[in-house]
Amino acid sequence: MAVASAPAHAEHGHGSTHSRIPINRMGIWLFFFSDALLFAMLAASRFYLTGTERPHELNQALGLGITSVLLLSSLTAYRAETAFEHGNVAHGRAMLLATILMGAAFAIGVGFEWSIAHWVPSDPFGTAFFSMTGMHALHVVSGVLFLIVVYVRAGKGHFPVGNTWAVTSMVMYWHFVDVVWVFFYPTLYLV
Amino acid sequence: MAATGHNAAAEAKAQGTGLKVIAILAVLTLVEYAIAVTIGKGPMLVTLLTVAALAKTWLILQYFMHLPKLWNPDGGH
Amino acid sequence: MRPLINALVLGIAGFAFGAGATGLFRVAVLGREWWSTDLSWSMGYPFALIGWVMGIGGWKYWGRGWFGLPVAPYETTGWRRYLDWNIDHKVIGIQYIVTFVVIFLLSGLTVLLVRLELMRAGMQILTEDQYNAAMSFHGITMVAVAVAILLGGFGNYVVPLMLGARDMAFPNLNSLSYWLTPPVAVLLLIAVAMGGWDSGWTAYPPLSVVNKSGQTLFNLAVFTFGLVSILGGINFIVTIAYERAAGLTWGRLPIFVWGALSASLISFFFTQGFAAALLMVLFDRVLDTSFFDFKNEGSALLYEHVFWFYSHPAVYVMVLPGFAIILEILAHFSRKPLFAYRWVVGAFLGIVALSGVVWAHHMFTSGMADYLHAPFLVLTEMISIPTGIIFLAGLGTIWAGKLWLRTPMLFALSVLFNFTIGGITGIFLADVPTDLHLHDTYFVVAHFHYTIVGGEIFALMAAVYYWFPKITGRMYNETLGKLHFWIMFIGFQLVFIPMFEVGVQGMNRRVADYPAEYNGLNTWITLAALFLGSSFVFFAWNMAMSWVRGPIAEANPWHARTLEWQTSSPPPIHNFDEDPVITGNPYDYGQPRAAAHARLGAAPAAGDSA
Repeated sequence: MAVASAPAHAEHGHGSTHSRIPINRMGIWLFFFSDALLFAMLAASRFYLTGTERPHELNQALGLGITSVLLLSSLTAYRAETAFEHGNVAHGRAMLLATILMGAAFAIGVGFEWSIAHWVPSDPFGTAFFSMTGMHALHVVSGVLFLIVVYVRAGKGHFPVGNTWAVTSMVMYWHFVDVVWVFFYPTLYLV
Repeated sequence: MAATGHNAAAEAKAQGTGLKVIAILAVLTLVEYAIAVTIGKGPMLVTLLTVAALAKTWLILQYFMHLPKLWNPDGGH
Repeated sequence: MRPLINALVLGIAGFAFGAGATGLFRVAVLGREWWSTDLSWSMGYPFALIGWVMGIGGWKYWGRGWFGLPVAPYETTGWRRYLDWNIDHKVIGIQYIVTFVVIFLLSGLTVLLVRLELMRAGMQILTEDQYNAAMSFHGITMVAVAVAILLGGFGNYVVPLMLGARDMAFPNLNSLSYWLTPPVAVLLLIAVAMGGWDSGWTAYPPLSVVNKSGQTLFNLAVFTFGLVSILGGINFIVTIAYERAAGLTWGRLPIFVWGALSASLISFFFTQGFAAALLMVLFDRVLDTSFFDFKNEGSALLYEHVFWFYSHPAVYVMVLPGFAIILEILAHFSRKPLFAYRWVVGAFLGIVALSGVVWAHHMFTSGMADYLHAPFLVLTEMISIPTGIIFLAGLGTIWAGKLWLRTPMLFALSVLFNFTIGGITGIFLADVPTDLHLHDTYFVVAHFHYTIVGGEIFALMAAVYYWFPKITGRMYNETLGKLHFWIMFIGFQLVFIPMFEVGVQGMNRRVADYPAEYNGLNTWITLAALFLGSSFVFFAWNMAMSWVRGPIAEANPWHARTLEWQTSSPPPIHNFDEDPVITGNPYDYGQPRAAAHARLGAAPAAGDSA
């Protein structure tokens, strides 16, 4: 990942003449775009395999529930980032913790959905469903792990005002994971 | 972006933006759900859901992920 | 050697962890046997990869920083840094070049085995399985070499120098990209040792879903390689956008930088297709999904769409840097400005755009919907317009120039010749009526070797000889270089021209045996292939000997104007003693009043020797 890459290198990179933040920002956006294409391929193959049919009845309450949790965790992530940018570390950490917990809740929700699924992976809809939710859950879990690292480091005072790129980048990653679900939720549950 | 210490007013304003955005996102999600249960399957539903998802994406990219900072690093809230 | 040992130990430990945890789950929860080759490899390998990367130095030099811990300083001298995590783009460039030249030679030896088997009808030295393994290994390793060596190797070494930058935008990411490649090679070799895989480099289902476990290792390896390609692409795009020296406007960029940018854009936009396709095959194999299993309403055609969505653009990842290098060399060695610079840039970007909408011309005989044939025919032929512009720019550059026929120039000129043949024969494959006859024959094999070998590998050789003095600080042996060129050039024509003929006669590709009526041409092709292969003995000897004890090279032996030649050979650790300022165009040879390309500190204007 393009985070926090080069304090040691900054002295003999162009660090002295311009800030690294715009460079890191462009790098992480390119990463998002590229990762999004992988999700797009999976979503496209879902429509290729089963058209706009949804042969099974899904648990709509659960779907709406986990979707809401993930959406809400984007708000707490945003609040955390904003708080850190203004030096409000205590609030920022509380919001990070809330994000982490909601992320974990989402992952558990997906796990529960898998356990009650009455279709199998070899079914065409099951193929799309398990690979899409699985790949997304992998991103959620990795995002939670990243946020835990940020949370612990924030407790040690590593992110004073003006040096919050690590928080910002991980929060951006979290929003990205949310954006993917913005498309996957209707694709899997509503269409 | 406040580079020098705690700026309560600016922070409150930015946090307020977050609340407005999440409110719209929540409404859009409920609308998605509602049309899915009422309209039923078909191309109309797919179109409407796509529009809603794109709108949500735009909101998140614009306000949560600060997409404009990509070409305007000093801008933003 | 220490980092390598650490990496191996941690890699094996990671594998044991991943495969062991999976085994435990299978035994305790599912009540099955603990080892299942496909699943255990798929779960063990990601952890092995993490262990390997962290062991080689990813943790010591980079990862510690993520947790707020101090990171170790990098080695700046000595040969040990080539076997260690290092962020200097010049070290990484050399790592790529040496690794992939070795793989290139290995893969070339493998195909000689294939050719020896094909010398006569019937089976002589290989079994069918061994033939499939050797042919598939040659295919994928050469694709990997073709994708990585120009961009990863020379791109890494030269682009920051041409930009006047001190390094790439993400130096640690750059090192990560390189160190992800050895596991790819190791995995492919293990796959061969396990009996190989028989689906070629394209891994079409349904075969790739049901065949031996070597296929799983192939998928994991190529997935990793896709990651290398994407990370490298991102790094180049950001570097070229942000790390240009003062005064280096987009219109003054050397054409190789444009080529690297275009190739990076393509690998950045499309590599996910290959990754997704291989991932789906992997899911079908180990998780029992049915993306491609027609018994469960899956679709094998889906794979071909997703796969070619990347793999056709991939050929432009291979040839665009090749084109760019030969345009560089043609301008420098003709002592003339590059003809139609702006048109060439437009053509590169046009290829980037068009490359994404031509993929289904690989599928004219696959049974896809008929209405798709005409649009893909037309779009495919449209791509010959930008390609033609690049080609004409090459001709315009040498037109009435004062050609300096050193080895790099000979290779560059040969690309113009080879690619003419490659391009013209491509038309027969883009046209549906002729393709129906020629599809999957040796005509296709000859065509893509003329484009990829003729267009890229010859350009690679041009690049090797051209930048050899810059990279090593020593001069290669001109006589051996020319000998290499002439044997390779003539041998190449002797191998592949008859291959068109045997393809038109209907000989299928990828088969180990064939009707005896094709004996004559095949014997000829095999003998010519041995002749072609012999040219690389001169190449390897020349490179090894010249690197050790060739005469010391000057900073700018070709009297070229571009920036990489305005610093010492090899360049110092930060590339330039003072940040350069760009004041003119890179190719204004023979223009009496043209400004110098670059000014370095207070030194007098450099690169004005034309």
